[in-house]
Amino acid sequence: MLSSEYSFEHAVTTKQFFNALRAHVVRSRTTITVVFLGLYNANEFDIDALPEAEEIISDYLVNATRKSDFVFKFSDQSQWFIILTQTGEREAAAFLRRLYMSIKNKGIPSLENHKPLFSASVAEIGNDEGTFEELIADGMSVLAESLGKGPEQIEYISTYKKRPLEKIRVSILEENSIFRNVLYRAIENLDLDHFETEIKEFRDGYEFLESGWYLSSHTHLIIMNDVLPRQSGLDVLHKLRMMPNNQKFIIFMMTKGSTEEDMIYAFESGADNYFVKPFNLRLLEVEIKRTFERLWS
Amino acid sequence: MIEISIDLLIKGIGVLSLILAILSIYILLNGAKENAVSRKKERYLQSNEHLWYRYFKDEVPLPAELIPKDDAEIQAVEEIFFSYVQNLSSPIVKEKIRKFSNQYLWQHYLKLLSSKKWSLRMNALYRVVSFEIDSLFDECKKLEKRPVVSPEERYFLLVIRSVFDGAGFMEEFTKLSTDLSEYEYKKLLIGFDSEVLEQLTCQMSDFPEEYQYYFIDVLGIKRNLNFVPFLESNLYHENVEIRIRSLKAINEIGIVDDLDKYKVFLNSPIWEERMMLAKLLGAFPLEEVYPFLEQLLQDNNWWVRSNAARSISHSKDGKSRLERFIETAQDRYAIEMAREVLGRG
Repeated sequence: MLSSEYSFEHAVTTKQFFNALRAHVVRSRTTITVVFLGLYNANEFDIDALPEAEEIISDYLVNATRKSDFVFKFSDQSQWFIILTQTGEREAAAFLRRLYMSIKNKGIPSLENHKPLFSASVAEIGNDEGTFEELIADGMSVLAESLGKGPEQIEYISTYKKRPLEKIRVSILEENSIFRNVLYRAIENLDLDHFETEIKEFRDGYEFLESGWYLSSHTHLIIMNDVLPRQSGLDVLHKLRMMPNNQKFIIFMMTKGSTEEDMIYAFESGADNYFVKPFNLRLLEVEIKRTFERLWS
Repeated sequence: MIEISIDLLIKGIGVLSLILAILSIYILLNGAKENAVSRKKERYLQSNEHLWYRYFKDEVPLPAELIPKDDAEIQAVEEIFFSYVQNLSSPIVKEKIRKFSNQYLWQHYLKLLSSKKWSLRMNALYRVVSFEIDSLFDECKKLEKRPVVSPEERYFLLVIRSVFDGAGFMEEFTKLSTDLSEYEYKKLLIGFDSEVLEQLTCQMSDFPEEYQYYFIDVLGIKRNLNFVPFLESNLYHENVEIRIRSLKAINEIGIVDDLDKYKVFLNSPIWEERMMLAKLLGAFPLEEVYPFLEQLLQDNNWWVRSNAARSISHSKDGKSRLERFIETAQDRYAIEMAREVLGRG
């Protein structure tokens, strides 16, 4: 946790710090959210006592956030710039509502004579586009709108939220060519936000392993039958899970007649999901969608 | 020595050559015909597989080109239908296959059902079940009355009856004679809803003895909690096999709550019962059942010891309990088993 004055002396450091965090957003698929918090009733404070009150508020905000969050104060205004790491816009709004409620009910210790009121603007960062200066300008402008509407307001900035399009590989390992095509078309037609799929079909595990298609850094969804000619799905599962950086593989197994023991064994060996044939294609589709949604947190 | 004139020999060779030539031509023609059918089937699959997908997904009404024009195209349609029904469980797709088969394929299967060839009749029966062609149900019933019906045909006719005439089938079910194999009987039962099986529990004692065993096995396979009270009521049955299979089925379901009902098997003279108890005890908190498992770990039967050791090791803190057991126990066989389960060889 860090509290610092955002002034010209610190501006470069703050910018570098924010940019480093933002660069991590795409790589780790974890959003951060920036909150611009403004004191709505600053004019109710004695002009001489305001700097001390702002300091007390800064300390209060530092305590109200997590150790992984960062609070900066703008030096010439009663406004704060808060970076909430691993947080989306919805969680940031919940944090602000909790903050508003807590101050309304209990006030801020050491500020017994005044009950500060706040409004905020919130920007979820899901990509590394745009400059730090643009973000500050947008945030301050929307914060002004929020303060103009009254106390305890939250306004959202969606400019920085859009997640970049990511290429994901999908492999289908199934002996029955008709069913393989069904799976191919079902996945091809899936509406996956922020993800572009590159799909390949394989008749068996041997063809898949020989192709070298799995040797890439892409996140790779593998949908395969447990029983396959030449090299089985379980063989492929073991081989993939023995590889370094194997977390990039999301492995869905399919089976026609496996016992629960077989399925437990497959899960223990690293399968992420198991579908017993005949299964509902819609179920597979929603599982894939949910899996891809969960890649971003 | 037999004397054959050269003239006769030449004639004989000529006749044999002619037969050979006719056979070769027949094989060649047949091969060419099969290749032509196969190519036609492939063409149909290539041009229509995607259309079928779109039709099943409700994206288009039934396109006319999907209706098969000859046997080769029927084979292609069958391949598509089997791929869907065996891999996907969509009521919409199932209904579309049913309707299509009843409308466009029934005449083809009607012809096969009246065929003299057993394999063709069997193929037709299999498809009547898989594609639910109810328009052929009456025809199938006629087949039942034929003077000679093979056991395989009889099995499929039973399945057809269970699919298209559930109520009538249930009446006949208890009277089934024992000419169905274990596999066939279980497959038949597995196709029933749990509610139907629950109704059948009241009639189980009327089934032939072997079928009673298979019935209990299927209750375990179904893994329905509602079957546990019935299975527990069999634990005191006079028939050992029924007791063991009931224990096995309860173990499959995996839910046991009243330990007292099972304690009786701790000192059973039948090792299979003690082994099943060792497995079942794994479902209880180790603290509650450890003394019983420790007794079973020192059983004189390898299977009982093995399952007791496994039940202990799969429980929370089980491995440390086994380690303590190894340090303090006297029974060499039990210690060896505990070591084996802990992977110490």
